[in-house]
Amino acid sequence: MRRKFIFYFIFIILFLLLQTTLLQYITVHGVIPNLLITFAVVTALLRNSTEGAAVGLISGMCLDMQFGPIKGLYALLGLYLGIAAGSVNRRMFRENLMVVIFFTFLYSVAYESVVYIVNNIMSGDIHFIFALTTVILPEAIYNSAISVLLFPLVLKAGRWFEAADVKARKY
Amino acid sequence: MPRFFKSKWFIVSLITIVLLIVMGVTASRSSSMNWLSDILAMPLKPVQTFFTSAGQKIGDFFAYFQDIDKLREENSTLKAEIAELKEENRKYSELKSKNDELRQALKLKDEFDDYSIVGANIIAAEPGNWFHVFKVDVGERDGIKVDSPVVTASRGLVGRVMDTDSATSNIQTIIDEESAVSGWIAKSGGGHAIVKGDLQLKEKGLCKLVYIPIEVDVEAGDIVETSGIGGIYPKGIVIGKVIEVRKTNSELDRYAIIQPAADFKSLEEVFILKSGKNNDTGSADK
Repeated sequence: MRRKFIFYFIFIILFLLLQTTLLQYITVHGVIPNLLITFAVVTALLRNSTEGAAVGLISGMCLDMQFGPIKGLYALLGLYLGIAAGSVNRRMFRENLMVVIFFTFLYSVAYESVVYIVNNIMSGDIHFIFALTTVILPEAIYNSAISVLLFPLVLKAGRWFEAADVKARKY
Repeated sequence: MPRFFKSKWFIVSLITIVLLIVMGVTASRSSSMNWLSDILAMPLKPVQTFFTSAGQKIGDFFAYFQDIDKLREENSTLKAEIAELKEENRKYSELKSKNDELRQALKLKDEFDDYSIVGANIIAAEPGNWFHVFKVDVGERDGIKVDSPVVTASRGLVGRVMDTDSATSNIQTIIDEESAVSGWIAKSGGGHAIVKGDLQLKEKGLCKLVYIPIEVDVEAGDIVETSGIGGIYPKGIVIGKVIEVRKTNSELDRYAIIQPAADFKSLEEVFILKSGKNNDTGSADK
């Protein structure tokens, strides 16, 4: 349990820092990938929906604290993202890279669409197709690429947690 | 019954309700939940400062090699320009001293006189692709308040302070989609219009001029300044230059594209205008 806590805490803070600073200088076509939601989706797929929801919730809370005058929105969306992504893995073969890439793409599109619509619904000025082609789809592709890097990380972390569980059971 | 309280769905709905309450409380402008963002802002500030300056260094390093030819060319044109400007400058300094005398005689005041200026470094940017908001390293402790205007070193409008905590503040730029600034088309026969951010133009660092009055003959090259209406921005800060006028179906519907005076791609430091007097705002600017 302590291992999980330390692992997720360190990586959420690290990804938050990269996301708000260095990544801003490495844009491709003006779009940056979203490390935190990719992390939440990959965790939910490879581990389970509880851990995915926890990562989504905590990283959403961190985003809320750093940016945005309305606090709580990203936390809520992150929580639902983790639950939704985690509900896939019971019916699918886990630990398959292609599955992870595909669902990262799918959930990135869904997540960013909801963010766009929620933010613009008040002004009523929604150009969804434009937003989809210029921001949402490119970002989802980058997120899928990032998921390839996060895949071995979360997989190794999972084995590390399980090793701790086995040890704990011995005593 | 206890099993119900331990079930996942109970926990999820509990968190949802708590977060909805937090959203409701923080949505109002007068909320005092700043301590929430303090928890994270304080420890992250030095690390973000480091990472961002590292990012800028890396960007500068690559630009160094790309720019050499461009710089040589620029250097020769600039030299010619300097000679011209020196001559003009001499004339202007004469005019300026004359102007100062006359102003003093008439007791006119500059708009910026009511403000003191605080320099700030950009340390982080909004993590998503939707907004154009960045974080700077000064906050409430330095006397920064929400809605203080933000400008570049050459006094081009950057935006306004959106929220603050004790050590950092978030700046909403004028190219952010949610931003709207009351502008004045600065020429004879000019008029008021609204400068708005636009999702399609944001990536190029441009924004839009909308609600242009029919009688105003706006064309490329016109300068747009803040109008002072709305109470956030003082009058006369340069917003940018009109680079294109686009007509839609009717005259009423036309809009112009503005190249802001601030270059948002290479912005590293900004200046926040801190009002000396306490001006409360119920405003058209947002």
